[in-house]
Amino acid sequence: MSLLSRLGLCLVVAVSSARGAVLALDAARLEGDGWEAGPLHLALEVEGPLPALELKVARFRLEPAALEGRDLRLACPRLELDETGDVRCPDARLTLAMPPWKSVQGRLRGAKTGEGLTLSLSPLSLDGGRIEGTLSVSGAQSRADLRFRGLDLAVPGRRWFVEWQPRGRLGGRFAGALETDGRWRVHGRWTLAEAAFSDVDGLRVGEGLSAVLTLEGRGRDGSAAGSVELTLSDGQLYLDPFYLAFERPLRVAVRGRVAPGELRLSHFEAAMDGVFHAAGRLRWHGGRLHGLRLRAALDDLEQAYPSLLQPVLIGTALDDLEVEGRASGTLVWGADGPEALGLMLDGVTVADRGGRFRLAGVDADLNWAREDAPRDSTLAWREAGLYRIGLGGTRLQLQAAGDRVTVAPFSLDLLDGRLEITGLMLTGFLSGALEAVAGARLKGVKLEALSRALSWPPLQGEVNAVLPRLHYHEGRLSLEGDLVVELFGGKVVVEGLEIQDPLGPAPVLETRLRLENLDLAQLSATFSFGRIEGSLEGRVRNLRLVGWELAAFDAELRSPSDDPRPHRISQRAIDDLTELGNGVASGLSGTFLGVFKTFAYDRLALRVRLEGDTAHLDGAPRTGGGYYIVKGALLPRVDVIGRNHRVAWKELLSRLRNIRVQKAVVE
Amino acid sequence: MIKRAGWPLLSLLLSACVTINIYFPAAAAEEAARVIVRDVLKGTEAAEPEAAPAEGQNGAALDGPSGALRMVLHLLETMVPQAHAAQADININTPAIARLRQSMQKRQKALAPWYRAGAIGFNARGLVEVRTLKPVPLNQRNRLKKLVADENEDRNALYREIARANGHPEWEDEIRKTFARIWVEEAPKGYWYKTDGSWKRK
Repeated sequence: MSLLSRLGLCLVVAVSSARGAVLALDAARLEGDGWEAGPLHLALEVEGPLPALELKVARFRLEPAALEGRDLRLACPRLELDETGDVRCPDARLTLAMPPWKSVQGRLRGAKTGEGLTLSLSPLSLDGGRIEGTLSVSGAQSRADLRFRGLDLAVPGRRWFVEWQPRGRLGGRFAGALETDGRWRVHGRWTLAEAAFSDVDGLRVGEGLSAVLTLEGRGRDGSAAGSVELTLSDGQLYLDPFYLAFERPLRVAVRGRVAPGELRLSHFEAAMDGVFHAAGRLRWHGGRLHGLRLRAALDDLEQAYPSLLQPVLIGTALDDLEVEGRASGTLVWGADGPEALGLMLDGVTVADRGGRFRLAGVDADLNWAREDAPRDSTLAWREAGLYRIGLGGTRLQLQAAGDRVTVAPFSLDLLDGRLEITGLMLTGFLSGALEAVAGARLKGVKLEALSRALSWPPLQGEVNAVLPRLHYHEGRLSLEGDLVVELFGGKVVVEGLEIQDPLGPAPVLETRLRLENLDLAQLSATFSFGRIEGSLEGRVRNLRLVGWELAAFDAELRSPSDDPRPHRISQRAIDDLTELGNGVASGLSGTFLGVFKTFAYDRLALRVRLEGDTAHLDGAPRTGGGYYIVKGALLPRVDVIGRNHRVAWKELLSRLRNIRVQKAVVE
Repeated sequence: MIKRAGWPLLSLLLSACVTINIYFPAAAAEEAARVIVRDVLKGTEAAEPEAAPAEGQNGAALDGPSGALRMVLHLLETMVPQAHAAQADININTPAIARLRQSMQKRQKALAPWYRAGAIGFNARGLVEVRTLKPVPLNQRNRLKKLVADENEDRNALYREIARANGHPEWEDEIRKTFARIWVEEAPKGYWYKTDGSWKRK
């Protein structure tokens, strides 16, 4: 009624003429509040039993929807008028072109009665899709009850959602009502088939989606409240960085209200059966998150890891894992950021596919608070591993708050011995600059177990050490204190050990070694290198392993000046040296020296300094060129003399070939 | 007082006059970078540098020791780098560098289609960067991101190790800049690279 009134009021030019039984009205232009049309031709034919109405509009524009149409033709062959002034058109036909739709056509039923205006679409075709239902204006209320089928989303998408490029077919039902005081309510259920979309950067993309969306809402003056439920059951979705393939349906439900500058969700929920379930509530105000309470459960970490966890871990040591088990957690977010976090792990196994680390049988109840008093947490695992070194299980008691985690002393099995950690504290979680400090003690760690784990020749001995401070910061792990390895009857002291980027592609290990009183008899027996009696001492400076491979060192090994052990070297050891050297082994044993099973020696000395791919060699000083590696003593005397001081490292093996018996004389 | 302060002051002045210049061997670095970049981009097998002694040999050939000793030698052989007859100013023949080169070569086959498709390119820090994910199927996007992250880890380690292997960790930045330029120079036509913050196609 109000629309027609406005139409009448806004009629600018009205030219009417009666020509026989036809009443025609032509207008160059009509306009109203939010619309305009023209030229317009309205003809009323009154010759038959019922008058016929025909409306033609060359162009029209609806401002609120930014719609422009042309060639509108509405024909009502039977216009029913009664004495009360009611007007009905039981069977009208409508055709028009209204971009983005090329063709809109269909049948209508319309009635203007004392109760209001009713327009029924039965149905209306939009480029292959169909809409049917009723639009009505009655008293203070306008209502719509529409059903859609097969609407092509690409058509409106090209006009109103260019940056999202939607495609797919939409069907469903929509019902809504608008009161003159501004109150409105809607509910609907839509189905999407073969839907796709993509933003301009391709960072939010859906393909082949099937979805069902149900909506219920009401509102007034820019505020709205209601609920939305969405089920995605086919296709794939990429919301950078997350990728989801809907082999199982994803259900999302949201209930809340929105007002200018504020969003409150009293309940939201997302679930994928057997994979994850999350629920909570949140408040968004003034362009930022003001409050969030979230409960989440990952029922199957093997399924959840690739789509929900790995994408945010790319570039870290945790981006290529095999994971099993269950996890659940809670998150409380306040106006100033995260306030509390809880994480439960149940039977979790984590293994790096690169073989760098693994944890099995992990159970945890971890709690963190931003400001409150530290909360107690526990973390336990059944077994663990670092590279090829196995670690036993343990149970940690820890407290976390703010930027700090402190762990109560704990110990675990390590290579048939024990590793005890005390005073472990981690900081820098919030700033991103993770730092850890701890003290450590190694008790009875067996080298035999170590050599077994690393497939080395079997070594005997054990490691006992007190490390007052282990420190990890900016990718660098450093040990303060000496690591004493009891080995071959003596000891090897590891000093100043540092490992940079321990889980990276090329970890760098730097340290110094001090060798004290090693029993060569035990050492040579381990390597089946003949038999050498005596002691060995020395230093290895600037030892550097990159990617666990030897990159540089400066080793200086020698017999102690006051060695109490006898100095004897077996013919086998000489043979081995000789065989390494130049194949003279048989020559030595073939000479009269072959009757001697062992030889006395004065001292052993060898210095090897590796720089780049070159080894620099030296030994005990010798007049007349070269240097002693083995300086013989007594009779018969055998000297092993080195000649070259600089050799390619790879050629050190060849250099060993050059070690030869320079002198084998009986004086 | 002045007398007492004289010697320390003189020492300070003398020490203040000492200038130590260590020049970055740009030409050698460029040559080394080109060798590595060509190897990686071609995706061919790592060319093992030929073994040759640094000095003359005067020992007889060794057929090989036996038993545990052979095992130790074998371990040593796997742990030590191949020697190179010519000592360049920039040494790239270390086990760590060889391993990083191999790792990058192996990954190249997986990266190459995305270089060609324009999804990724080289940036000014000598790293690989995602240019656009549009050409990448949805289910392969995170795989590509991980490839890029792994490649960059290797590249960062490579630049660091070349500087370290040559005894000048402070050269890392110069080496990185050299590589950044050589990656672009050696890239096949059609590859993308980032310069002054914007992408260009070679």
